[in-house]
Amino acid sequence: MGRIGLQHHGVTRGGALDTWSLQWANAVLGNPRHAAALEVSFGGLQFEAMIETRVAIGGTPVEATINDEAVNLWQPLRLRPGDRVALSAQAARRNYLAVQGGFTTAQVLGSRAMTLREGLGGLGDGLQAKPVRTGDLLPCADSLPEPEGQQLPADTVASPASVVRVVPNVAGRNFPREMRQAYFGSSYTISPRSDRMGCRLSGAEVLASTAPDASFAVLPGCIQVPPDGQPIILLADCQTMGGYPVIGTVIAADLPALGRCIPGDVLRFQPVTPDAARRAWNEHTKGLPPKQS
Amino acid sequence: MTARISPLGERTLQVRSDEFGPSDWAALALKLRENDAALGLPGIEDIAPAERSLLLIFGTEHLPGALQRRALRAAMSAIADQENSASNVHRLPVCYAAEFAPDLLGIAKAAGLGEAEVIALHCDAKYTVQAVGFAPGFAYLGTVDARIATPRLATPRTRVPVGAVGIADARTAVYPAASPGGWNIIGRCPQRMFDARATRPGCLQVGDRVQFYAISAAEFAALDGGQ
Repeated sequence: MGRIGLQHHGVTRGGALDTWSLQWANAVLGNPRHAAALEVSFGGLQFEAMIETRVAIGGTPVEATINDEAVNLWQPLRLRPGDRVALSAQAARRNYLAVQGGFTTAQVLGSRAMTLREGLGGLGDGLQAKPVRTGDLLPCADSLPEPEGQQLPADTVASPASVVRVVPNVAGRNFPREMRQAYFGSSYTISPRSDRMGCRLSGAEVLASTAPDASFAVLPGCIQVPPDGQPIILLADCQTMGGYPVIGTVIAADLPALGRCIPGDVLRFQPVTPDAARRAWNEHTKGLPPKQS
Repeated sequence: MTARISPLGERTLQVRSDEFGPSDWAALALKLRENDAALGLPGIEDIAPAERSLLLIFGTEHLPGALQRRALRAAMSAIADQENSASNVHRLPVCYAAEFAPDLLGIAKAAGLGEAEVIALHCDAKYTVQAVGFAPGFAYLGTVDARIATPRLATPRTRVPVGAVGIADARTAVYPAASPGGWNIIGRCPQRMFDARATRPGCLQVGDRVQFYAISAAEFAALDGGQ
């Protein structure tokens, strides 16, 4: 779930884009819900088990197999040495592979999250982050207890966002009324230039009438509007400070579904109050075990 | 005192005040970090001061409301009533030798000064850390003497080495890690600004004071080899 409490050092949080799926993939194994898992974007992953263990696959719908036999998402799956697990690239978006006890890569600054831009996390000593490549060995513990996991209905579908709720930035006063109306009244398409730092949107131009007088701290969910008028929603690997005007912030409950989106998806934005955002969070986390379990 | 507190999303309070400078934000951040529950502000995950604002990020179990705003105002009043001077003063060595200073001559020419004068102006100023961001441990120091304040390069370099000392407008900084960068590079500092293995990973914090002093290439080699 990322590096917490280090923003004043300029360290990004990082962590899963779809924290809901990460936590549930862990929960079905009885893992601590923040245990390290592998985020797989656009599928196409194949791996072979070197030890006996259990894994669970979470995230958006994907065709998954063990030794060419189809398996369900959100279920504990027993693996023996030599078993081959595959996630198809067909229609895949964002998936999480959780393993019994979590992956045991090096913990750096309190987290195993890999932030490529900062070189933190990943294999080895955790100070030279690199994308996982063919042939890499992912470390995990052998012969662990297998606690009873939580259950999630087999037909659970983690869907990508289409309507995203936003707490407007009322204090910034950088956007005239007609621009706020344009933003909340239009559809935006996710651009292929998006990455784990930011979800870049293309659509109706939103122009700020004033700019912030100084850079300020930002966090995932903040919607920046650079002078080209095309908004950028900051995501898990975002920078810690920004100077562009922020029109609003995506509510925490809607960030996981946003994390399931891919370029070409179309989004609309709905303004909500902080109170509505709180209620949405309580609804969103229903059923998950407490944080420290 | 006057402060404006507003949410930047439901998990945060962003506070701004024209009466606060970096050392006041730093003092407030320190007070909150030591004592958040006792101040009526439990569950703070991150405290991120900037030049003119401070952002409090709360854990989702402790989303802030009217109570937290009141508590924050009270904490700010206490800070406003005290003299907040920098608690940490850093003296950082810089080697300004030509091999480390590709933009030094350009700045000197543009300013109508000699290179030694540019170095003297860079070393004479006492800087305050205005903000930390862009990369882990990247501290924005102000204010650079107007005579050597220089806009960013038109085309950023694809790689600036660790320790490079740069100027961008009225800010100066030490690159904490090799990265792309558009600052004008005038020297290199052998002291590391960020160590992910340390309990306190960043060397510089908002509100800290910094002064640079010039070292020779031989001194640089000795200090750099000591890392």
